Amino acid sequence: MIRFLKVTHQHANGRGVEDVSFALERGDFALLAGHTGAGKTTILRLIYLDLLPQSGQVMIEGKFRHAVNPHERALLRRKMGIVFPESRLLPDRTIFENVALPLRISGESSHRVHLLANRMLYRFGLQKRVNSRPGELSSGEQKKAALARALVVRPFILLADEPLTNIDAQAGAEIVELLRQVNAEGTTILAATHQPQAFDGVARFTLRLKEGRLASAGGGIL
Amino acid sequence: MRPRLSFVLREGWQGIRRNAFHSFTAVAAATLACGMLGFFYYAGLNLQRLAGTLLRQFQFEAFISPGLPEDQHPTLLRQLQAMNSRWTVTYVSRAEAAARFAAEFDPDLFNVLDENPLPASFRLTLPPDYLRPDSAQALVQRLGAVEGLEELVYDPHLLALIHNGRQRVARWGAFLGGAALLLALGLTWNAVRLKIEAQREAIHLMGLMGATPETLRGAYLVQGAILGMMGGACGAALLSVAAVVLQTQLAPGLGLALPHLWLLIPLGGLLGMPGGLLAVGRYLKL
Repeated sequence: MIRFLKVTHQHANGRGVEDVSFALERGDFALLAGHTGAGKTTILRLIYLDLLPQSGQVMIEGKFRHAVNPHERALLRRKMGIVFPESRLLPDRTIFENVALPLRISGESSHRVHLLANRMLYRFGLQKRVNSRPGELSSGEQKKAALARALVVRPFILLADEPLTNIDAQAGAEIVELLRQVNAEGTTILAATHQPQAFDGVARFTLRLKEGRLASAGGGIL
Repeated sequence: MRPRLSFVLREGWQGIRRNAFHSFTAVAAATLACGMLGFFYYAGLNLQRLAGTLLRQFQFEAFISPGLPEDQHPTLLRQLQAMNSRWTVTYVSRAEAAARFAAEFDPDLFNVLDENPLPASFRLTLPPDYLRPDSAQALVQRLGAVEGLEELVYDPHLLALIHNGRQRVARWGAFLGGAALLLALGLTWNAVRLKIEAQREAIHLMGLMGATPETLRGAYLVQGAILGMMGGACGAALLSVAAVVLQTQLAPGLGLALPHLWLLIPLGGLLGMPGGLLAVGRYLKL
């Protein structure tokens, strides 16, 4: 479903990824592990087309995505769920509005927006927080809300960048369990993390990055 | 893939309700811009109207030769009327001239005189658009050639004063109006731009969630237009109140006219839209 073929993308500061190849199949649960600056976020950004490869090719859903137009990119992103390290919930909107935003962008009817967003908030235990602002939530609740927002459109892949940062161990365990359930329902997950051990028994394989290169992998190698 | 109208309108409108301070600033700037444009436009318009009113009252008086028998006066009137279809000619008989003089100056004057010394005359008025110092001069020359007329009297200095004043108002009005328009554009663009830039995180995030550039442009175009229209409405209201205060408290009977004041609302919208487009464009790049 996702293939990286000798992909290189160097940022202006010299960081990035170099000559990276791997594959993710539908239903996989993979981790991207490595130190800060190893290239984990760059790989996620290459998948959600926030960056384009300088060399090599990225194949998503059977198509090479080296030259996408803005409309193709938008359509593809609507089918992806993205969780950012800092949650990035919009502070001037309620939790409901934050979670409903991808549905509204996808053009869902008002009825379905309410149905799907409330269902997702209930599933993540945030049903009493629908009218709260992100600033009124704990870090763990903010992570859950960000996860709910990413999953509300039933994406084919969830790209989670450091889903366990800034939250305590108990909230982390809840997030891991939620990710396990989502994966069990068929959503492919690629999570970049400093804490791969927290996903022991949940993730199927880990892609370890070192200074932009794939150092080792428990699977997914092409 | 066409932008979803409901999303565009919803985001456009709700973006105004959020960040109330920035919205207030943008509307205040648009109000100032539209108010300023409206002020210059209506000031110029009313000065032009005043000049037009003065010119409509401006008259030439052509005195009839005392030697021309009174029964030939109607023939002379028809001759003058036939010379130019644009001017209006009114006959003033000797008796009417005496009555007007008595009413304006001294009612007792004719009691001490044996006979009425005032000659009969024709009063000519021209439409304001044809009334210029050079056309007045040409008129004097044409009427000077008409037999039966003795003298043509008018105030060339007053005519020149009104005419030059009118031209000056038009020239300065165009210059100041142009400057005001540029200032208004800059002011509104910048305020709307700042308002939208405050939402850059939302713009970026919506892009990552699959909003197309057209959808985002549409939403912020709508937002800029609404902010501008609100400013236009406030500007129109301010001008309206200022005109009422001026006419009731400071200069009663001034007769100020503010026609089509509502046009400031769409004008505000037009001023606000480019600001929205420019601002969002910066955040739509990959």
